[in-house]
Amino acid sequence: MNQGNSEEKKLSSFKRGNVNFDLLRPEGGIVRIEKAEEGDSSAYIKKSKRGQFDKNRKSNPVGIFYIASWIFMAFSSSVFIVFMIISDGGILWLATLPVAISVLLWSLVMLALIVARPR
Amino acid sequence: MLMSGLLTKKNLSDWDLRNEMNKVNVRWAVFLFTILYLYSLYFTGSRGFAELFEDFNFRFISLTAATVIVCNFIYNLILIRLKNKDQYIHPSMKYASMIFDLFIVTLLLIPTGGRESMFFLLYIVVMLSNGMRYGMRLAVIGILIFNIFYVLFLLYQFYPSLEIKGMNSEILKVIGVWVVGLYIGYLSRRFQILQNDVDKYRNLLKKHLENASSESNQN
Repeated sequence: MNQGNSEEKKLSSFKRGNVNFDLLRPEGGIVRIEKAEEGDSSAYIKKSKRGQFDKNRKSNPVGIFYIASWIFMAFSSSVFIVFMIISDGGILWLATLPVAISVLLWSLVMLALIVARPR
Repeated sequence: MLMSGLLTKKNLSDWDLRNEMNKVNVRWAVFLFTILYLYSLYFTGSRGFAELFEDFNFRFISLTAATVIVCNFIYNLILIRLKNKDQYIHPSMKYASMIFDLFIVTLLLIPTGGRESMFFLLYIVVMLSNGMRYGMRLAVIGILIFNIFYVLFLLYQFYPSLEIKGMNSEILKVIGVWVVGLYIGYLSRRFQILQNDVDKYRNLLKKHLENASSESNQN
């Protein structure tokens, strides 16, 4: 039963959305929620959407160094894998393959997230 | 899990139990073909797909066969008992059975041609079987364990030499299994999402039909 409860807790906490998506936020300083005037439904929809996203917190978007380091990781891991294939080295090189593939895929996922963020 | 759309412990356990029983049957089928092929190689003395090593003898084939028969039979009995008593299956059982399968495949590679053995394809069968049933997590763990087993197998075959000719082909083979495993995990995830959507619409339709029938009864 304990395990079932913990699974349910995990699910409910995930549903609440406690994942920090700060890295996906648009660049710029603090964006405050502006209350829409009554009757202006189009403005309300736009501003409330932006407001839900920011919640008056200080914007902490990813910098150029952050993006460059992910690009570097993706590039270096792919070069490492190609080098591993070309060099025809020892058996133990094969043991590093999971690390190299994980780094490559993870950095590509992060780059895709960063590129797809709203600007 | 997929049947009712709810992630309750009971549903997860039922899903695991059904899959594990199915895996046991698949294991019997693959085992039968493999062991018949190995015995035919031994008794006819033919070469097979790759050169057979000195380790390939009657004792090896019989011991491997006995190990698989005993383990699979005991596992089958455990699963039947759990099903009959309507008990939960522990989530780690699926990992254990997958590791057992990968271990047996690695064992088969040793005398049947080593790195050139055709039984390498069985790794992909194990990946497919587990990845399609359980999704991305099990697929990734399976590939990692396969990677470790394969490195250990190559070390066993070539030790004390750590450098072998044509290592790039080995790396490409392992990368191939990685790609297959990850792709299977991805497809399985897509299938699960689609299945959940279908379940959602089915429940919605059921609810509306029930409402409609109750309204017509009242009228």
